[in-house]
Amino acid sequence: MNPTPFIRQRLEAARSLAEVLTASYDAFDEMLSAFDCYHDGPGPFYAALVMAGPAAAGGRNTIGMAPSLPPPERDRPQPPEPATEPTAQEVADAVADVAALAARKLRIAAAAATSAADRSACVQAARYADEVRGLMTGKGP
Amino acid sequence: MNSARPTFGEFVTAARRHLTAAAAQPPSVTPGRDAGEQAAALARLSAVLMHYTSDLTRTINELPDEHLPGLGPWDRAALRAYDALTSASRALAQDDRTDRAVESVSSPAARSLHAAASSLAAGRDLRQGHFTTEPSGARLYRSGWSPAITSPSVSRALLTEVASLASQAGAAGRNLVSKPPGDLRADGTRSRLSIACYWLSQPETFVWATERAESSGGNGRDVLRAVPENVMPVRRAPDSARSVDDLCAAVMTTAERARAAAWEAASAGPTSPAICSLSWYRIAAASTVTSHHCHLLYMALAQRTAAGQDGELRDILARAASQADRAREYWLEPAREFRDIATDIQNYVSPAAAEAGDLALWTGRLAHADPDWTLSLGPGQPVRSAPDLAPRLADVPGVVAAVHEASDALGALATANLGQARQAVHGRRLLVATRSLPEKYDIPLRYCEPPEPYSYSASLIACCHDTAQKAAQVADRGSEIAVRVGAPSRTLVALRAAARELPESRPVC
Repeated sequence: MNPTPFIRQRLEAARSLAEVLTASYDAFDEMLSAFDCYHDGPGPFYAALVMAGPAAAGGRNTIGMAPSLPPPERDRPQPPEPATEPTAQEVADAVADVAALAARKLRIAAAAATSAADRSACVQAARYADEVRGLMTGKGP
Repeated sequence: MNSARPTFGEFVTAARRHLTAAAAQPPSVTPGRDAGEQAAALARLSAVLMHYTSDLTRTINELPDEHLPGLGPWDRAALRAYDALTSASRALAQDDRTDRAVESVSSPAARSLHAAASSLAAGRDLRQGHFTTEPSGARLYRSGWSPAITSPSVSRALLTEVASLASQAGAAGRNLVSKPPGDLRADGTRSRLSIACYWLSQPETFVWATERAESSGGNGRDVLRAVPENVMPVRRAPDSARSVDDLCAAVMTTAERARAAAWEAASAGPTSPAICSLSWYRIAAASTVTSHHCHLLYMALAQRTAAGQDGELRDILARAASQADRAREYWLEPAREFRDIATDIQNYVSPAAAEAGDLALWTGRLAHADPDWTLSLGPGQPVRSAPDLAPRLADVPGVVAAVHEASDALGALATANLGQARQAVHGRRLLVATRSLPEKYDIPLRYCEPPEPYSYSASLIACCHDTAQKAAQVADRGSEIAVRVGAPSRTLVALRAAARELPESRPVC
């Protein structure tokens, strides 16, 4: 599974706080699915794809507690399955790209949020997105 | 395995050196004054030794009288040693001038005796640092070393050490008493010294007799001497090691830090703010990576020993490599469990999680050819060659020790995760992603408490329990190899064995 370009498009299109929160929540969730798919596949072991899981879960969980996050949709749109299994580097590049976009969108949303809880959730989730991106691009720990 | 922290053994060695010096001092130049100073110094030393035996008999003294006939020979020996050292201390009580500044003592022999007393007092403080006392008087464990320290084999080793030190102190005292008349003009002091020296020699007699009746067994002495000061070793800076030796040292220091942090984490109560599912997830993810690195390192060591024609060791290392590879797989299971849960506290990185991350980094640098390897580098990075990892066969034990310490730390981290997961369930701190629930639960929230009939908690605990058991098996394999090659980490094996001597239900201390 590769989280772009479907998730990227949703993030790009998100304008309101609720849309940014929903798209970011789904983006983190798709990152986790992408990591899982990679671990289950035959590719070589890649430490960063394992280590980024908690950061992605942290981002998702933090947004999950934001007051302005709309209730979950049971039939939310699913990204299409890619024709071929992406390589580790392709997964890393795609995740880094989505994480960078999510961080930017969340910081913009934080600046506009009126509730302190929403603002805090956006800022914290943006930090998790930075952590994911850092691990994917080699600027991690 | 002590990463530059002072150990109990170092204080004992220093005390013995001072006692040897005391016995070898030339005749006194100011006999009257020296006699008083030497008696005061021996009084202080006797009191310190008596306090050690007081620690050993603490729980025995709290037993009801009807239980005393059922005491084992080592407990009886400890009681008799306590009585003898108390008598020695009392014989010199009037010479125990605690108001006298040690710096002002002029007799070289007395100064050496004071130095020995100071070393042993510091050693006792070091030992006591592994326990804490509640207002009720109950002593509680404060570190992973505590259970081993209170184990029968280490307690017996301590009694043997104290008895031997008392005997050495008595011999030094007798040496002072037997100096030509004129050295000790005060007959009263000479008499008290003689009585004290008699009592100081007694504990060793009791221990010898007991040892003949029931061998102390085990590796208690090794563990006792290795007991470190209960402080966290200093964290290694990421750029502080490049050579294999330094990297092994960094792995071992980090493993120690991880064990200490895991001990703290496992002690968290159900309402502790340190309970955070994301930290469990970080530990599981980092341990997955560390297990992979242990696999690579065991593989390289197997190659190295194959070249050295030790077929049996090669096979053991190859099996360990396979086991570490499977460990990587099973650490992914709790990682998946933790992915879909949350706790009421988020955004907290526990010390145990931070140390687990450091362990993944340092084992990665040891396992890969690039000493600047980071977790972020892509897959397929060149691994360190066997000749680079251990240029000589004599280098194998050092690397084995690092892998052993790392895998032992993973066992401690898995146990900590299990302990915290149990507490989180007990404290109703868990939240599950509603999307992970069966369709029949239509809950308009992203997270909720696990619904009652939905036994998520049982599945989580079972998964953590399974991981802890398997991690312990990998650590045991590491122990087997460490003993086989004589790795420095074999003290860890003795430590674990000593800790296992105590049934879990035994009262602390």
